[in-house]
Amino acid sequence: MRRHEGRVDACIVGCGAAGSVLAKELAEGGMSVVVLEAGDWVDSREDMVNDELSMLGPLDWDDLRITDGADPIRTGRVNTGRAVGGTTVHFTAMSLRLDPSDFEVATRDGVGVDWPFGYEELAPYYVEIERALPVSGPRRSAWPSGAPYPHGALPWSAKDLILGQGFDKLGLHVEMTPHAIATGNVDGRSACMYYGFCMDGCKSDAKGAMNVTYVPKAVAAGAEIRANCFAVRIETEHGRAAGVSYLHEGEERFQPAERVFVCCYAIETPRLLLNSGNLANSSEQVGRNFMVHSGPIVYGRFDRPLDSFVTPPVGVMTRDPYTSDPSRGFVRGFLLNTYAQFPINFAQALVGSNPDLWGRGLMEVLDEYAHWGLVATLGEVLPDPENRVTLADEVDVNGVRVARITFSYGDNDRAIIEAERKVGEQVMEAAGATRLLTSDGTHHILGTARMGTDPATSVVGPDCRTHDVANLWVCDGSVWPTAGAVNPSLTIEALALRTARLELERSP
Amino acid sequence: MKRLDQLGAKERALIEERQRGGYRREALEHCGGALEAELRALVARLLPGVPESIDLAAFVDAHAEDPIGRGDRSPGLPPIAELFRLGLQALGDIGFARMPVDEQDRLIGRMRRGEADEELGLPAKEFVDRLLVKALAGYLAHPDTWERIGFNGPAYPNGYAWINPTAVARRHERFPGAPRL
Repeated sequence: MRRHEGRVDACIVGCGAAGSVLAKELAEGGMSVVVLEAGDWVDSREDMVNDELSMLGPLDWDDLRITDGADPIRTGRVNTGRAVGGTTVHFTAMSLRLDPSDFEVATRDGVGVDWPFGYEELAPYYVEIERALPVSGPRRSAWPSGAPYPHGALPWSAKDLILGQGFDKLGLHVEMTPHAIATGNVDGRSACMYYGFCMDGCKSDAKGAMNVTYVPKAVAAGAEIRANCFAVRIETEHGRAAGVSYLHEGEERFQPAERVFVCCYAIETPRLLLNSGNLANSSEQVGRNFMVHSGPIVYGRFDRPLDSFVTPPVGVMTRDPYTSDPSRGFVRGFLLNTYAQFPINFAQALVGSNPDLWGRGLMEVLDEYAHWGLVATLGEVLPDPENRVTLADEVDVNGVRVARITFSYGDNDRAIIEAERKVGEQVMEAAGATRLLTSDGTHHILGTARMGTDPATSVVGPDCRTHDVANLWVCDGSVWPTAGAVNPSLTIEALALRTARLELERSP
Repeated sequence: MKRLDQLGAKERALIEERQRGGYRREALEHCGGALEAELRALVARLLPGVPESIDLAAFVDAHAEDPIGRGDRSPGLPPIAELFRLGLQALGDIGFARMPVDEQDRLIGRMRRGEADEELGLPAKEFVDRLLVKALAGYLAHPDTWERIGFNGPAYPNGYAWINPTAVARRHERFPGAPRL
C-alpha cells in the first residue's frame, strides 16, 4: 500500500460504504487519498470466525452512546460498524434500490421533503454499483430494481418455501431479495457457500462488503487506508477545511488535505462536526432529522423444523405494501422479507420486547429454535427535526464527548409499525404457524446532515458538499432527506460514486 | 453436531475450549463475595435447567464490562458492571437467594415488567434485562446448547447441503437434541 506524506488531495474519514467508494474513485481519478478508519483491518481467513459470540464486538461500534426520547434506540451491532469496510462487514447484504416515489414524498404525500434530484439521476450509478459488487437477484422483478441482475439469485431455503406459501395465500408477490452476494466466482472471490454467517463476517468473500470490493481497488489505485485512526476534529483555516486531527495509538496527529470527506454514518458524522466547533452548521440542521427504519419482526413456530439459519439470513421479500395507499390511513409504507437470527440475536431480540418471556417459558422457545420462522419488516420513518443527535456530557476513553441520540416515533410511523406487525402475523398464520411472537426494533440510521438546495434548511448541497465550507463534504446515510424503506448501503454507495464523479468533473 | 474434524481450526478450538471450561473461573471478578450467591440464584431462575457444565454466572461476571455488540445507555444509567453490582447488592439486602422459588419468580416478573424499580431503589428492569441478555449470550454460545436446540454451529469450511424442507426434516430425524420429532 502506498503511503502519503504531507498534504493530500482528499482525506476521507470513515472507510465504510461511502468512504471506500470515494477512495477508489478519487484515487483512480488521480487524486492522492488518505482514508482514516477508527476500526482495524479484518481478514476473512484470519480474523473472522464462524461463531456468533466471537464476532459480537470486533466488528461493531459498541462504545457508549446515550439514547433517550420516547423510543430510545439501541446502538451497536444492530446499526453501526467499526472496521475497514465499515458496517458492510456485518450487513445482511440486502441491496435494494430506493423506489422512485421515495425521492418526492413532499410532492406526492405532503410529508417530509423531496430529494433535490429524482430516481433517474441516481439510476446509472445504481447500475454501476450493482455490477461492481456484484449484486445477485432475480431475472425479472415486480418493482423498480436492477433486474436482470449481474449474478443469478440466491436459492430459496426451507424458510422461503414455507413462509412463501403464507405470502402467496395473502396475494402478496414474493421474489428472492437482491443481495450483494456473488453466486458465481468473481475477482478471486468464492461464490456464496451458504454458511449463513453473513452478519458475523463472510468467510467465503462472496459477500460484496467494502473490504473485499472497493477497498482493494482503492489501495491498488494508490489510496492509503489508515486503520485504527480515530478522527477527533476537522481543523479549519480561513473558513476552509485544513485537514483532520486524529488519534492513533493514543497519539494525536494531523493530516492536512485539500478536501475533507466525512463518511462516518448518521451518528458519528454529526458527532464529529459538532465536536469540530459546530462545523458546517449555520443552518442548525446538523444532527437534526435523525431517522431509522422501523423493524418489528414476527416469529412463527412451526411443527416442522425450518433451520432458518442455513443460507444468508434474508430470503424472499415483498414490496407490495411499499408505496402510499390511501385506504390504509397512513402515508408511505414498508417491505417484508423472510429472515433468520442466530441463537443469541434471536433470544436477545425476543426478551427485549417481551417482558414476560424468561424462565421456563423462554427455555421452551429456545429448545424449539430450529422450528421458528421469521418475517422481518422495514418501514419508513418520517423526518422530524426534534429527533436528533447532540453531544452528551459523557466522554469516551479519549476524552471526546459521545453522541446523545433522542428519538421518538411520530403518529404515521406508529401506524406503519402496526401495519407491519399485522401483515407479518397474517403471513405467519397463512403459512401454518402454530404460535406467534413479535419483537420491536429499528434498523439503520439516517438523516442528521440533510441534503438540499437551500443553505438555510440543509447542510449539504445536491453534490454532498457542505453549504458552509467549500472544501468539506458529508457523504453517507446522514445526507438522506427522507429514509425510504430499503436497506441503505446500495444507495449510499451510489451517492458516493456520484459525489466522486461530480468532484472529478469539477476540478479535473 | 458436526464432527470437529470437519471444522476450521479456529472454530474447532473455540468449541473445544467452551466444552472443556464451560466458562468456569477460579473466582468471580465483578460480582464475587456476597454477590455471587445472588447472581447464581438469579441466573438459575432466569434460565432454569441449564446444565451444570455451563457456568452462566461466571460468564456474566467475565463479560460485565464487555458491551458484546451493544453500547447504548439511557441518561444517568450507571455503567453496566456497576449496575450489576448495585442490582445484586439490592437483591442481597432483601435476601433474594434464600427466598422460596415462587417468591423469587414473582420479583423477577415485577422487575422485568418495570414494576420493581421503586421497590429495589434502582433501575431494576434495566438491571435484570441487561443481565438476562448477557446470560443468554453465554448459554447460546455453548456447543452443548447448540446440540440441544438444533443449531448447527459453525458452517465453515464445508457449508450446507440441506436447504430445502425435505432435507431439513431428514436432518432433524437424526438429530439427538431435537425435542419434539
